Amino acid sequence: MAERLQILLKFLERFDDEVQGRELSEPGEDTKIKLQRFARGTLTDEEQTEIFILLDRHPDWTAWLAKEVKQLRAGQ
Amino acid sequence: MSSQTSQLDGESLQVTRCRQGDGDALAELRERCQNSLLGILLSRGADRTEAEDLLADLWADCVPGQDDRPSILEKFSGKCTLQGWLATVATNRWVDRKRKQSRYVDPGRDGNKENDYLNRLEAASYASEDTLIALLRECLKAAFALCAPEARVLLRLVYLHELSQREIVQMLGWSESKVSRFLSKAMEEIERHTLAEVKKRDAWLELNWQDFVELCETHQIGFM
Repeated sequence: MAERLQILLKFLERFDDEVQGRELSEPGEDTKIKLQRFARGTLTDEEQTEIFILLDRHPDWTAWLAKEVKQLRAGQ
Repeated sequence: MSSQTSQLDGESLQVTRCRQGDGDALAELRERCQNSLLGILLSRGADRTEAEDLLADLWADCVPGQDDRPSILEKFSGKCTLQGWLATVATNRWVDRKRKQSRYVDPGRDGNKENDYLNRLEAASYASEDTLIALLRECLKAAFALCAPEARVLLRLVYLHELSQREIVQMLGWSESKVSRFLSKAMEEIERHTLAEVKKRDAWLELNWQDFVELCETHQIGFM
């Protein structure tokens, strides 16, 4: 099931005309701090809800967040 | 060497021969794939006549030099099975043809030649090699749009950016079973909504989830 979802997400990444040609943006400094706190698991439930909405509007920022989590993983 | 790798290598040789117009290789390919492609088209909702017509055209287009065009096999990347690729091309053509038929309005006895021409022109302009890609994409997007933002973000983090469920547990403070249940439910919803969207758009098209995923995968890796 996991492999199937990976295929579908990669298909959307490749063929979504809204994604194609869109420049990858970096989150602002305030957002970066929130995402770092999210990565460390220190956001409140309300802050988590806000950040989910924000990440949903800016899907490219999930890559930034994932990188942050992986850096934490590497440091452990 | 895995059996799949060896199958792809064998197919690569056969495709090279077919692209060069080797009649024996083309006949072998047809012999090997005709029945299974026919079965796939029938299972996806085509009737026998439609499926046989489509396959006859498909085999003709595999031959290089028809109307000075190269073989359609030039577009095969070799990164998936040839049969899966041919099934995707055939399905795309069938969806395209069905849509053209449903958009073509017979002008009847009272119609004039100008209207007839315009109707055909409109139908032709709707035809595209990307018909199936657009259908798969739009159905998937509609299904994702029905999910909660949390589900969309977590699915991307886990399945696109490869974070572990344990890392999600640490980020959210949820239990492992809650994360696992949440992701499974989101995936089930995507499957259900996607297939419902296919039915809504093209009621005659019979796709199960395995078909849908395979078509997406072939489009992603199978074309040059």
